[in-house]
Amino acid sequence: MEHRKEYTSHRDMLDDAMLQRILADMTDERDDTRFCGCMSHGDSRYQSSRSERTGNSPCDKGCGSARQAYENRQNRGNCKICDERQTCGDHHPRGEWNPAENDTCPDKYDCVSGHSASLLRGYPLAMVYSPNQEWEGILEAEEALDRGTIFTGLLFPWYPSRCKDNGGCGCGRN
Amino acid sequence: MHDMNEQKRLFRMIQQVSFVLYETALYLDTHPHCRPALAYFNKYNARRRELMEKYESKYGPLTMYGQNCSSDHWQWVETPWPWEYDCQ
Repeated sequence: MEHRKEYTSHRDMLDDAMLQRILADMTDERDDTRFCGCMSHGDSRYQSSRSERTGNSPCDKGCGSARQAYENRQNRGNCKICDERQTCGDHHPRGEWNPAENDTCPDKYDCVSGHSASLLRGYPLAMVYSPNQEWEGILEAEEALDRGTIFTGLLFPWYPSRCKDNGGCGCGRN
Repeated sequence: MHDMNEQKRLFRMIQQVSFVLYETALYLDTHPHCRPALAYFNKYNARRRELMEKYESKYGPLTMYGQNCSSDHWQWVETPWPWEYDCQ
C-alpha cells in the first residue's frame, strides 16, 4: 500500500470571502496599507511610500523583522513581497500569478525566492489558526458510524506507507 | 434466531444514531446557532428515543436508567455484562 490522500478537506482552502474577512480584521483601511508583518509593536499598521519599498528591508519601527509589504487586492499582478511588476533582484518572476486564469486567492502562489504565500501572512507566529467548520457534507447515520464521522470534510483514511525494509523488520507492511 | 437478529439490528441502529448525535453535539458546541445542525440533532434525538423505547420494551434496559419492565426484579443485572455480550 502507498500513502495517498484521497480526500481534499475544506480546511485546505480558504475562499475569497474568508480572506477578505481576515484582511478586514488586520487593517483599518484596505487601500494601499502597508504594515510590518511582525506585529510586535503597538501599531501594527505601518505606512510606507512606494519609493521606500525595497523588498525585505527591515521594519522601520525598529523591531528588526523584515517588512512584508501587503498588497491590497486591487493591485494584483505585482510580486506580493516587493511590489515589483518586473523581475526584481529577489527573483520574483513576473506573471507567476495570472488573475485572468485563476481568480483565486493570489496568496496560493509562492515566488521562487520562497517568500511564503501563506494566507496568514501578518499573523503572529507560533499560534495555530484553524478555519471554521461548516455544516455541509453530512453523511447518513448508517455510513457515518462506519466511516468514523458525519462530516465528509473530516474523512482522512489512513494508508500506511510501504515498509522501507520490505517487511523485513516484521511490520508486515510489504 | 429471528428475534436475536432483530435485537442486533435495533442495537446497531441505536449505535448509529447515538454516534450521529455525539458528532452533532460537538459541532453545536462551537456553532450553537446553526439551525440546520439543530434541526438535524432534534430529528435524530427523537429517533433515538423511539429506538430505545422499542428496544428496551422488548429486550430490557440498555443503561442503568433504562426501562425496567418488571416490577418485582431488577432486570439490569440479568442482561449480559459487557464482557459477556455478543457484539457481532
